[in-house]
Amino acid sequence: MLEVKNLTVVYNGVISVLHGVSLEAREGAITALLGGNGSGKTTLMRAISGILTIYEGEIQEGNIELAKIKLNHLKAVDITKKLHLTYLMEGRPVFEYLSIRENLIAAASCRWDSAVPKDMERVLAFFPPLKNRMQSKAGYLSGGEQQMLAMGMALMTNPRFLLLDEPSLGLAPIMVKEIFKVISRINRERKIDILLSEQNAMVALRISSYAYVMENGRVVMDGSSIELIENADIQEAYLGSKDAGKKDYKEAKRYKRRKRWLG
Amino acid sequence: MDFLLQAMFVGIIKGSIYVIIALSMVIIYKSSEVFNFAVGEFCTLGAIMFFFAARTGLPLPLVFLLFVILCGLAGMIIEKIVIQPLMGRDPLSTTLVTIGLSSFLVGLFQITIGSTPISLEIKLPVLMLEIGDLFLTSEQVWSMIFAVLAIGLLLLFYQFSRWGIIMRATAEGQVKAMVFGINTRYILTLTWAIAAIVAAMGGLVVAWSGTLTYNMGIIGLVAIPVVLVAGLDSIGGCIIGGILIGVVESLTSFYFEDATGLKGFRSVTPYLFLLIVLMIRPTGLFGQVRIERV
Repeated sequence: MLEVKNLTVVYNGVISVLHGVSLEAREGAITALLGGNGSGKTTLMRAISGILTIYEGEIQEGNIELAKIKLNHLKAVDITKKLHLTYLMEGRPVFEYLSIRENLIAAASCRWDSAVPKDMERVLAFFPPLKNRMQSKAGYLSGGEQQMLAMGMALMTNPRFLLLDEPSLGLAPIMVKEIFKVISRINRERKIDILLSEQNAMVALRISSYAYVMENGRVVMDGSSIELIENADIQEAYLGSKDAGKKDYKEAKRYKRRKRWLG
Repeated sequence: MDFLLQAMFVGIIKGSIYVIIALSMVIIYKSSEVFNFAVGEFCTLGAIMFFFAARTGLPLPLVFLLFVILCGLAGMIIEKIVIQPLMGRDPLSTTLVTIGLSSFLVGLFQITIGSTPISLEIKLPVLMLEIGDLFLTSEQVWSMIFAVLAIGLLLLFYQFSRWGIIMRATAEGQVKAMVFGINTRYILTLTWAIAAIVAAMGGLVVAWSGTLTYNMGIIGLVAIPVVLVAGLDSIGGCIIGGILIGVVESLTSFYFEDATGLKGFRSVTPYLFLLIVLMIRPTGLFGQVRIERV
């Protein structure tokens, strides 16, 4: 179980991005993290995976615990290697000048053992389109294929916990469907817990069991995914409710809604 | 035209030495965008290491092994002390530090081996080559063999071995590599070790076909036009660029210098060549083709 308690993150010592975020990602489940641009999803994931310092960020308060082990000051490499938590950055983080095979090998390097070739077969079974193009450079793949490869690479690190940062970003709707199918399969078949950040709320809520909504660096709402799909605010903000067209822009202003939620 | 073949071959041999030295620069540039101006001193270092390794009186293969290990270690130590504290800073700062490192090493070499030239003697079978007009001394043939071996081994390592793949991955994006659990610090140290070994092989050939002096690192300067002509990050371009510059240099010394009486003009030709190339193609001849999806 991944627990984030009252996390406050500041960039460059002055720009406050997260203001006391708390959340839990339960074992065996997919937890969704919803929110628009600049709501702090990526910062939260950076903080969890230990690469915040690279972006001049700092955890000022709060705790991040994975299975009761505190992650706050661990190095990114150790978090991946020893605690088996892998963060898949947004925007398809593949090595473009390497072939698919080389990409998978590079990603597996942190746990190089005799099981790697077998594991590669297992990973490729999730992504059949990659199999026929093992020697082509990752930079020449389509967006969907790159996202598949990136997820395959994340699997090659042998994770027990995956942080997926906007896996649907910039993909065609049919690809999004495909990717999310694989995500829920990975969760079920490989027993990997997943924390999934998304702007595409509907698909994320469908495959997750619990969800948090973030806005301006705060968690403004949480609940089981079924509950959230039914929720009027969520429908209006993310899913497009039926009478949204009639609404005045003034009413749709974010801060108003946030006040309602907090109150 | 009787000299043409001879001139070409001498040029290729000379060029292949430039290639080795330039490759050392390119792998460092690719991985951290640092331009290693101390590459010439890495060459000297290699030659000195070999000199000391040969003194132990071990059989030749063991001497070579010892030489490689010593050079790799030296590269690692230099990276740990000089480069690593600057990690995460602007690559330009590190580049400037390598200039300082270069003068420091020159001084250090002068203290250790003195200012008198030393001749390296390696007992290898005589392999003279004489075909028609073409005549190559045993040393030239051996340096050719040596260069091809060094370049080939490096390419094999870089392209196909697991560590080579990881090095290339790290070169592409350190943060990306880090989140996949690659220890980028360690990989950078490894990169410097490999670069030191490669440069050392170049230095060995240079010292062996000439003499070992504390300031023979000047040869490293020629690597700069090679790397720039190649386009900074292209290994294939480096090989072609290096040989091209070697041939240009040798053709100048065979034809132009005698005809005009401008002795020593050949040492300027690499830079002239670079100037012309950069005027026509500012990105160098073989800058890596950027993969861009539209």
